[in-house]
Amino acid sequence: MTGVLDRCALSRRRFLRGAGACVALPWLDAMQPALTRSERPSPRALFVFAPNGKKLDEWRPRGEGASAELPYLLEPLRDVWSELSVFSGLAIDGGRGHGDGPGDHARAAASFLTCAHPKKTGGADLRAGVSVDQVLAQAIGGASVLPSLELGMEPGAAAGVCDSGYSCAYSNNVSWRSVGTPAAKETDPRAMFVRLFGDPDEQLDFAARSRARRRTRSILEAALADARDLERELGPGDRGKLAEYLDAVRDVETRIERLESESAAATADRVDPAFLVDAVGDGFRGRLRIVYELVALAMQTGRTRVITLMLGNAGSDRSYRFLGVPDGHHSISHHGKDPNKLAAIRKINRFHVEEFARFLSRLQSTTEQDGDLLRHAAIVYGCGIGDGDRHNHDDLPMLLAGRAAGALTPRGHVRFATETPAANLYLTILRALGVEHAAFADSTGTLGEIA
Amino acid sequence: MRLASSILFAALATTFASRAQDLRGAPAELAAFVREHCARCHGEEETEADLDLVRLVRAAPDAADAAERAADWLDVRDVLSDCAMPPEEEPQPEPAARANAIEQVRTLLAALKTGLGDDPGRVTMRRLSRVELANSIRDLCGVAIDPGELPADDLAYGFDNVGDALTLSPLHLEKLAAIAERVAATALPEPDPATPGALRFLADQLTSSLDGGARGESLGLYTNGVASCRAALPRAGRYRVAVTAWATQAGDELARLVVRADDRAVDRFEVAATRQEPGVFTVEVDLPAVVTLGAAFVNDHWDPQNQDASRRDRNLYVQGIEIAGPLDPREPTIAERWLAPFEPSRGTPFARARPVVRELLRRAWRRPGKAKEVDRLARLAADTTSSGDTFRGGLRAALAAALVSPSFLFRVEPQARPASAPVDLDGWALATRLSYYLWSSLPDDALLARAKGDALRDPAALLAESRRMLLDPRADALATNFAAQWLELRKLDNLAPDPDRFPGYTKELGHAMRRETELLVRDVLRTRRPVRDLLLADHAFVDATLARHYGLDDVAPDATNGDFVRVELSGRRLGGLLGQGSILAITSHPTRTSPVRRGRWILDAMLADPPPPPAPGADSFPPQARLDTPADMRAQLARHREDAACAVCHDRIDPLGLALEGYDPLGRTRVGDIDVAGRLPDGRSVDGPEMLCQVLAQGRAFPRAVLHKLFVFALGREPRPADAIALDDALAALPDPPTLEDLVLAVPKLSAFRRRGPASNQESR
Repeated sequence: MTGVLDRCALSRRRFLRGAGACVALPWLDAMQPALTRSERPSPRALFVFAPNGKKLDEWRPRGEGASAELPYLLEPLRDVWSELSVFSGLAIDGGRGHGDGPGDHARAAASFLTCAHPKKTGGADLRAGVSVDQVLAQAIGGASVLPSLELGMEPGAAAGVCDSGYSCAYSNNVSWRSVGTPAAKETDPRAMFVRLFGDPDEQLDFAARSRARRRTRSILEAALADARDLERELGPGDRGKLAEYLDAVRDVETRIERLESESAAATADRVDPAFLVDAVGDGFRGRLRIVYELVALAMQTGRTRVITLMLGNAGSDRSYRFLGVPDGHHSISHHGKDPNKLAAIRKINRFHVEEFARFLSRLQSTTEQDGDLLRHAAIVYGCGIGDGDRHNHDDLPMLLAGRAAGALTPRGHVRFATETPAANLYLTILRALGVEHAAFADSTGTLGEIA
Repeated sequence: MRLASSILFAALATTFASRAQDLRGAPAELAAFVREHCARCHGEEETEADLDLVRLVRAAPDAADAAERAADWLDVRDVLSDCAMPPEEEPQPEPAARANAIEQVRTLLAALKTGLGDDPGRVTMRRLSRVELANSIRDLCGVAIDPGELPADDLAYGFDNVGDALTLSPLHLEKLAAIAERVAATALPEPDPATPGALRFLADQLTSSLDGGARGESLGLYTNGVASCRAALPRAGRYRVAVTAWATQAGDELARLVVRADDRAVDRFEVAATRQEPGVFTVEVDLPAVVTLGAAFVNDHWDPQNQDASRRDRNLYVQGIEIAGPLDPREPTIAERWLAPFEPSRGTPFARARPVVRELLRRAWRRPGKAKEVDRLARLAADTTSSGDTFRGGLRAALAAALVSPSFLFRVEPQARPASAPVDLDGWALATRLSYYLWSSLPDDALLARAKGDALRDPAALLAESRRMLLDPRADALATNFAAQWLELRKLDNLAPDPDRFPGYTKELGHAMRRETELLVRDVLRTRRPVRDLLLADHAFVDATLARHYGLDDVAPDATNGDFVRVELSGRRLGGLLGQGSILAITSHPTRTSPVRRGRWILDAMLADPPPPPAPGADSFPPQARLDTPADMRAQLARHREDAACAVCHDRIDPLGLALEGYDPLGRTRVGDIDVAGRLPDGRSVDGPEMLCQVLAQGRAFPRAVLHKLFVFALGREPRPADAIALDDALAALPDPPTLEDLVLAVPKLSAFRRRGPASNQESR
């Protein structure tokens, strides 16, 4: 794929305006070190999906509660341990085969936040379930510029087949807007920035920006009218496709309305994009840090309250050469207890926990009214399969960080009965964020231990 | 038991008297053949491959499971035609008996096809894939957009243009709206500014094809490589490109600099300039609006023993690339050209906009706009104009709105009325199917002219139009889009071979590999060569990078200028797909070759018969398995096949991949004595790559697979048994051996291509 921070692309608009030379980020001077406004804290949710499972004996704490002893993989989380619950015993039954045969990776992603059993299909008639982040977005997302934000570190598979008779839509998405429609994710950090905070290259004043938005709205209105005319001519199958379209247009229109109703002062609230280039050339690690920083900023500014982040697509075969692991992640996750592969897997898993811990510390050091950003958040980190070598969907490596502004209580290592649905965790989070649903997917109740 | 089912058969045969009439006699003869040659393993003592032929032979010709039976009979016909069954060690039928049996299966299939009905199948309304969208915008407006701006389209059946998987989220729409407005601004610009601008990329803004190298004021190319930047220009036009560079010298020639625009060498320079006084190397050149400009160093030289320390290493240092322009007067844009005749200079903005919008919709929506639709966008243009914008600005809004409309973004096809019956596509929908199939883009003027009315519904006219379109450069999309997906070439973008074990992989090499494969496909298509030449070619298309990579520098003298040239290989290496770096690389692990991946790829891409995935836990080598050498790999795979559960598939997979073990993960020939012998389950030997290609190229399996892939690409769904029978009929009607062009042209002839099934008859698989 193209470079993540293609600086030639960064300069496009500059050039279009005929402004002349593309010099290194000259707008930085014009940008205010932003984020001075203090927001009333409202809980925010983040769901982080890590591909290919973890080695459980390196993940599970010894003992229970806050005094449990941290194993190798969780050591990096020591500084934020008081804000964490690490779960044993959670299962996602929907990820299992149930007679559909292989395809655990595809099912792991598709069921991770939906807890649904995805329909096995190479393409026709996709079906999973509505994911917990989208339930949240529909209930509480309305007040933010972006009801939800879907991010990932890897674009979709470029070619071939993703997993055993499952369309790649399953492997590449954890967030599902409706039973049949995944919410596509953004994988380019610069595009993420532009979506959240506007184009740093575009120096329109408030009036010009407002005019541009009005124009966009009038264009969308015309397209929406076209779509309604068309709807009457389509058969039921195609109408479903058009429904996706109508839904998307309305969503974007609403977003523009919200931007329009923002005060001029709020629009001037700028975020310095300098960090976008800080880690250029630092490869995957640098890009991951940028994305985590974008997540932190999105939460901090309240641009959105609901975020999903895929650290890799299900079954990701990325090589982590900078960790000394040239082989593909998925290939070595089938370690067959080979010590070399186990050592490599350990490095990858540890790396991901380290970067996650770094991110949590960043949130913790961001103070807000009545606490800090981490306390105000509910953050799930986990995998849709347990051990990459076993493809199991029970005893999943999952943890919860943050207190959702007081609605959740961290308990250290919490052991549940086996087969406790992960949906119970999601229902607990929904309630903690004020969504009083009676149930979510296959939930059997809330997790009283942490509520 | 046998008696019982005979009675049942008789009873059903009465019910289906007319259909059974055709079959009477045939099953008995066929049944005898099956009993003699097939039944022991497939029905009597065992049911290998889950195929119970005894039951199949006895099955009543009722319609209930016609589809399944057709699928099974298709398999039977295939293995008989390919002489893949009975296995070599078993007694073989007389050729006449085999031919007779094949003929009877055909008759049976024909009868089953009638039972399957003439439902052409349902195609879910397809959103344009991001590649199709970019191509459509290019052809409609003359504006280049980068497909990478949009979220990746999810793949289904290996392709990114399958309606069911082409979902649309707010993220898509947000980006599409932004793209539409940007495209409209470029397509319908206000006049050029009085003074041209300049764009300068400094050393730290350039991308190097090499790992590392000096960075600072200059980007150092310490070996052959290229410093490049991707520039988005105000428009396509004439520009002055100035590369500021200097060099250190060694050997008897000066450092050479090649200025490239995309893959094209536009000028060459000898660089005598020094660090103290860098040279500026200027060339005026016509560029597309989005272009990758490169400064390539092409004659690396190292002479460590030279007395003069300053003449030991020839390197090129690039300080910057500047692009100034446009220098030429602005040509009317493509959009301006087609709208000009429709733009009256007088009247109200609404009245002036209407004819322009009408023409816009005909082109963009691939059908005439209805009065209501035309008025809506004309009104938008008029309102935009009256709110303070220019009339041009109003048209821009209308164009942007047309581009975000579902009528542009989706390939809308008319519905059957009543909804339960299949329907012939009208000319517009047919033209659209055809152009996205052959061009991955929207119809051109000529095709639209024929779309009006019923002309295209005449199969001969459709064929003539297809032939015309194949001569157009846009048909290269069959290589760059269809074949790139079919052969999984896009995997090259994310390839990360371990540089410690297999050094030398660069993005540039990856691009060259991909291009080589695309050029082979394009050549076989354009020169009307048999499709099997994709496997058997004894020539290759290489540029300097690839020639060096393959060790073909000596036979590719013209390849030094950065272009691709055709070289005859005379057996030096395999020229077909299986000898290409692209295929060999995407089927390898970063640290080693993978005969399993290669074998699997062959079964899927070359034979359209992928093996099922391994059971969980059965898909890794044992701990500390040694895989360091080809011999280790071969031994390990042999041990693995001792497990009968693994052998079922791996007897088929492994020999295919092992035959290619002479190639390393980057597709280079490995030195040393490497065992490449193997035997397929049906007894055929595949000792080494040449024999493997011969085996694969025999018979109809490969053309059938290509036809299968073309079908999925053209229609966005997998062939059902009825389609498979139709495809097979189509294949049988082609000259032997079929050319790639024959196969491409066979698809639009299919009823499934020209008709559309009822929406109510949705398949749920």
